[in-house]
Amino acid sequence: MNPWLQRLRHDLLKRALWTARDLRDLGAHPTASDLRALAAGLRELADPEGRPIAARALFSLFLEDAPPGSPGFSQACDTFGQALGFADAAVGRALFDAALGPAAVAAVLQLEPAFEALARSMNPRI
Amino acid sequence: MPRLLVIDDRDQTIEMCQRHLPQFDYVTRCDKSIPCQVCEERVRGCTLRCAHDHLEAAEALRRQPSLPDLVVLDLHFALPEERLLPEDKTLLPAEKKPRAAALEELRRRQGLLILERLRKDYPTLPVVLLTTTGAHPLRAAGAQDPLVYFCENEVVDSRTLASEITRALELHHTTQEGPIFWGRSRPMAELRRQLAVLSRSPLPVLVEGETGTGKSFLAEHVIHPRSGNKGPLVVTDLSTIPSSLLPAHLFGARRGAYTGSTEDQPGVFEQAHGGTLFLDEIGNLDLELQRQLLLVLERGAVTRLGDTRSRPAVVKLVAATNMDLEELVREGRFRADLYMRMNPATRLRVPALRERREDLPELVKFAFLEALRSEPLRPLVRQYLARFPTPDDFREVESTVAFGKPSARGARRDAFTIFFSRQSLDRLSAHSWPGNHRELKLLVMNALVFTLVNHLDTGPAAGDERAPALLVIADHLVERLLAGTSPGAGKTAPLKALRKGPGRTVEIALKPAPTFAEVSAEVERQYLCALFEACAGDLDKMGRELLGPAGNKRKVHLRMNQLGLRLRELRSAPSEELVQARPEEPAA
Repeated sequence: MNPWLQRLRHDLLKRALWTARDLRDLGAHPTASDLRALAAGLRELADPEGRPIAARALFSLFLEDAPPGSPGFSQACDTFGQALGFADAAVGRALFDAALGPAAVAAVLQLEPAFEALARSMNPRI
Repeated sequence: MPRLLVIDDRDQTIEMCQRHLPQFDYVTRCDKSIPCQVCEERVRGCTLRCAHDHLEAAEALRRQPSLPDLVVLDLHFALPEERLLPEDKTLLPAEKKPRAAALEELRRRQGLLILERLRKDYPTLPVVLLTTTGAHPLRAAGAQDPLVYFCENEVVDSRTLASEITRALELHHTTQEGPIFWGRSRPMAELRRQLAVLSRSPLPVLVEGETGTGKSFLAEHVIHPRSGNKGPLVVTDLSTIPSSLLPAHLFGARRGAYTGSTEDQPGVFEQAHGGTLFLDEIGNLDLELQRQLLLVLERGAVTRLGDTRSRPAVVKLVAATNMDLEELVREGRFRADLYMRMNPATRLRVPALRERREDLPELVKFAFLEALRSEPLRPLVRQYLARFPTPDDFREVESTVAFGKPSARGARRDAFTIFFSRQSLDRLSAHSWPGNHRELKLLVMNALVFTLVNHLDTGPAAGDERAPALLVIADHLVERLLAGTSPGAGKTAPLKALRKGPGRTVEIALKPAPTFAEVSAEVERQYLCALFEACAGDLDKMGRELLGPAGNKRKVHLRMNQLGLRLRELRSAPSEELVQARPEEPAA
């Protein structure tokens, strides 16, 4: 896998998806504390030097170093950025209204297919 | 509850672990034992949840009264330069861009540097390393450490992590598996990990190790049961069979194939068809037999001597040797093609006992308990239990071994408690164990036999209402067993036995002496040594045996001094220790 993608997966995706996967596996309605953990996965990340940063801002930093990709790469980057935005908004809404918890979990889980599409756009054989 | 230390630059890992893996306890950097998730300090901005770098990890470990059961260590640490290992960064490029790239590289493999630092202080601490999927170079770097378990799933979830943690804990903490004591030493952990794979492989397994390290034991209890083969395990030691009989023994023989062959005889290859064939001391085979062995292995079929029909002989071959086969190949004494057929790339090395010194205390305990339960010792144990009044709730399976000075308070009333002094344990640690486990097993068995017989011979003291289930292994007994002399012997000459009938019977070995007085003194010296052994160093008891009611400790001590027998040398421990060793009996 391309090192840039590997870093993106490690620094951003892993942190965001961990809680969402656990909540999906539990199957129960997320509690307020679960939702705070879900939000932390998107909003309490760290930049390379350990300073706090949110997922969307971190992705912007990643885009500055993005390698040249196939013609579909920038479109896939946009799609991934949008998925991040949707997830962040869904989690934000769920923090105010716990009934929206399952939708927030689903929105965060959508980051995984978006990332796979991004990886495919860099290397169509994946 | 197993305790984990999470070392990660983010708190998310420990929070996820605490949230979803409540079956574990967590080391935090504070003194509170409550989980961080529900700790009131958390809302006050406490930052002590996780060990975020190498310094905090060292601090967390230092604060613990005992080591955690497992460390969960991330590979990537997004930290500022000053918190990264190595501390000395003078070797990094000075220019901004290359320096930034070098620092980023350090961050991406910081977990390995922390692991290296941890290993210096905590060599046996098991670690689950959270790595990037496909990070093969990093894996190779850590693969030399048998106590590192990789969790490679990059996009991790708590269930995956929990299963990795559980697997690592199981592998590390089940130091005992049936009759095998794996221990915690690194060579054994490595051997165990290799065996887990090679047992299931259809390829031959070459096992190297000194005599007595348990090579055949591993074949019987690990490799064969895990091979999945339905056929039998056939064990044969090539060093014990006369060379003229070896071909028939290995490959079988038709009736009349050689003088004295009165009936058809299958060889061990045929017998082990579909199973496992363990060939011990393979280095002893001569070159012609090596050639035949190679043919059988390559064809998976064997032809008996004097026969023309070939028979199937598909076996999982486990070959063991205490020689250096590579050296034998260089010297032309072992065929290179057979050596290559033995799959030397994956050869196993069973460590010698002296390489497992950190395991020795547990091994000694294990050996004592195994010996106490063993069939050969049953008659003596039964005799012992029958001789002494035994409580109804006496449960031999609960027997224990304690290190240190014997005390009635530390002993169980309902099972054997074997006391083994620290001094003797140190002596065992210093021993070179040329016979390895076989030697340890025999030493332990001997020590138990002599101790039990000693109790049986001396009988219960007056007023004893229960079995003296406290068995004290005397230091001088261990010393003499290690020295390779018979434990009944004094320093002056070997003594074969001391029996108690109407009186004591002692076999005494004498060398010529210039006068009768010296002969008598030597006889008395050896008798006193044997009696000292039989009475477990109790001089009062010796006095009563020698002189009747008029005998006492002082008289015996004086006589021993006159004969040049020094108590300190006889018991290699302070005399008080032996008095405490028998709390059931009135102290002198």
